[in-house]
Amino acid sequence: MLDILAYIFLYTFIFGSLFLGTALGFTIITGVLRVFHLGYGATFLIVAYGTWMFWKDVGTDFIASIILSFALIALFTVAVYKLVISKFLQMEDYLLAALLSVFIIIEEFVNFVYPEVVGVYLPTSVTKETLTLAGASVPAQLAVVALSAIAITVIYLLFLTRTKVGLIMRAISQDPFASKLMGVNFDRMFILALFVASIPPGLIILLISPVWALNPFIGWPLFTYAILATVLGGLGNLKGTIMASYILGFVFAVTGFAINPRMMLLAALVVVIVVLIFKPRGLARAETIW
Amino acid sequence: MVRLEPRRGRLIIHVFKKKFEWTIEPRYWRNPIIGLIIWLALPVILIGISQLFPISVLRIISTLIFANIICMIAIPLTVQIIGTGRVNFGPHFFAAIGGYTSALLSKNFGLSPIATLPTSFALGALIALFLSPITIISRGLYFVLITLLLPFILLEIAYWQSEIFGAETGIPGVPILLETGNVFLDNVLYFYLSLMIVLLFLFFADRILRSRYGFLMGVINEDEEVAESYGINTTRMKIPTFAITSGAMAIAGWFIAHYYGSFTGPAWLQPSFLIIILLTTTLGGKGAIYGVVLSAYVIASLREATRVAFGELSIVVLFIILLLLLYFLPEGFWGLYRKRRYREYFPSIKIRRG
Repeated sequence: MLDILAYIFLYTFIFGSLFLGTALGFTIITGVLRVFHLGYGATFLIVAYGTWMFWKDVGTDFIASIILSFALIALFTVAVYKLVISKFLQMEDYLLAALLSVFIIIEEFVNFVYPEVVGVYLPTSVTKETLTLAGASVPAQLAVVALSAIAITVIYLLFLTRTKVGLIMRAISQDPFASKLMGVNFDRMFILALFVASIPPGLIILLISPVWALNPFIGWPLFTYAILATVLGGLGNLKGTIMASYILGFVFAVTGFAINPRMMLLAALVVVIVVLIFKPRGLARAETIW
Repeated sequence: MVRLEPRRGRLIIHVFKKKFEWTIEPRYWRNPIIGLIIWLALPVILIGISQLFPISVLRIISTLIFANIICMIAIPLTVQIIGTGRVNFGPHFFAAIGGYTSALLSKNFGLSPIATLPTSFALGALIALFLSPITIISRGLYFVLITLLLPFILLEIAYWQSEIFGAETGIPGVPILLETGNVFLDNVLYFYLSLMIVLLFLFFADRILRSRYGFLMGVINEDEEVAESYGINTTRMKIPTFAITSGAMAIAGWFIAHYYGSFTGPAWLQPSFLIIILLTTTLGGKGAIYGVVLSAYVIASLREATRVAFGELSIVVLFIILLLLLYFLPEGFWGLYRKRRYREYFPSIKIRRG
């Protein structure tokens, strides 16, 4: 019994932090841009497979490959903003359909170039040890992922609350039109927000790839976690996302270790739907990003 | 009793004390009749073309059946979007409800396709009725998100209860609708059967959207608050619209199960199928049910053409083409037609944020 409780405690922390890491960028996009970026899942794929491409196919040094993959994400961000988001910003249904199409294009292209049989593996393991707590053990790399997700969240909070750019982003999230009147360069800030938002999922996928086998279709499940945490949190409110991530982590851990592991995602989905029915705007109403 | 009264350009039908009006002026029905004749003659035209060029008619007819399946989901979806003022991102959820209902009932209880048809519709409508409070409490992105999560829930249930739903292998052994022993003839008959369902959907959708009820749906779509201030009971409009159109989407699932002889949820609950339906409605032209048909045929044909021409890269090329169409045709295919022939009021989709 004690070891089950220990497992639930450990995995609530790990799953919760993982959800937070995947949902952080998505929350910034929905909070600042007020856009439901259905192409967000492509970020995971571009960073992971971009790194592999530069490292194995181009022959660049591994660290340089990671940096280049983030440069690729920056290019992708600018292209998506200029060609899709700015074009369809006033037509929500078109925008959602176009962004989902972008995601499918990237996913299928990655699957064409690097199908699962290629066996893409990124040596980003920080540790190969196993962590043990009250009889419960977990790969230490997962704890690294969880701690990194928390560290990234703290850095982003400091960025949003202590810097001028963060202040502008919060202003846009509060009132886009008033901030425009104050002289905010919308296009530049939107692109910046999109790029800033793509860094956390990129880092998470790099760190988690040694534990979870990479495949071209990993983007959608990770995006599902991001959707769940962001929606439950109030669609664009970081406080809500943090709360929602750990609630979902707890639901995952309890279902996985005490009920039935096959029902983990189902239980989380049901929790989110039920909360949304009774609290349609999520746990923390998204008046502002923080 | 029943009396016909011809008037200039229209026919008034008196049934007891009620009056029904039918427009018979040629400029109103000429184009639909021409369109319908071409549509009905498609298999014959294809057989003629196959005598001249080396094309697989069977494959093309399968593509046309797929286009009709998309229509079966996209037409009710369009009516639903107009009537509720909300975009449903889970139309394939209701189609899957119909598919699973038909497959499970016919396999486990030996029900015939005729018996599973009303059951699929009823269950789809009933589940939608149960979920219909979401059309009142949520709107905009929140409604999109809730409906987007529904297919995932069904998919997870299918994996969890794999002994019942078959997970990735699906439910095989569903009795098929038509079997003459000739594969080609079977496919032609399936085409006409699916076409008949689509025509029925089109007929009902057209009648509803042109009726007073359709006008009220259009008002809700334009502005729900204004509709309420004019005394329209929006809840009484949205709930039946949501339930009945969702039931109609379940009929698509019924057809899929009895056409393919199996139903595999993970194949139909994927985002790639959702996006095909959504692009069909958007590329058709906002709120244009006839544009949806045109759009479904274009998308299904492009899907098949890219599959032949690009092989494994086909989905990438298909979605790039669709994205470009979305980019260059902001009013959809129907917009091209309506620019030249703008005749009467027809409710159109207007999506609001918040």
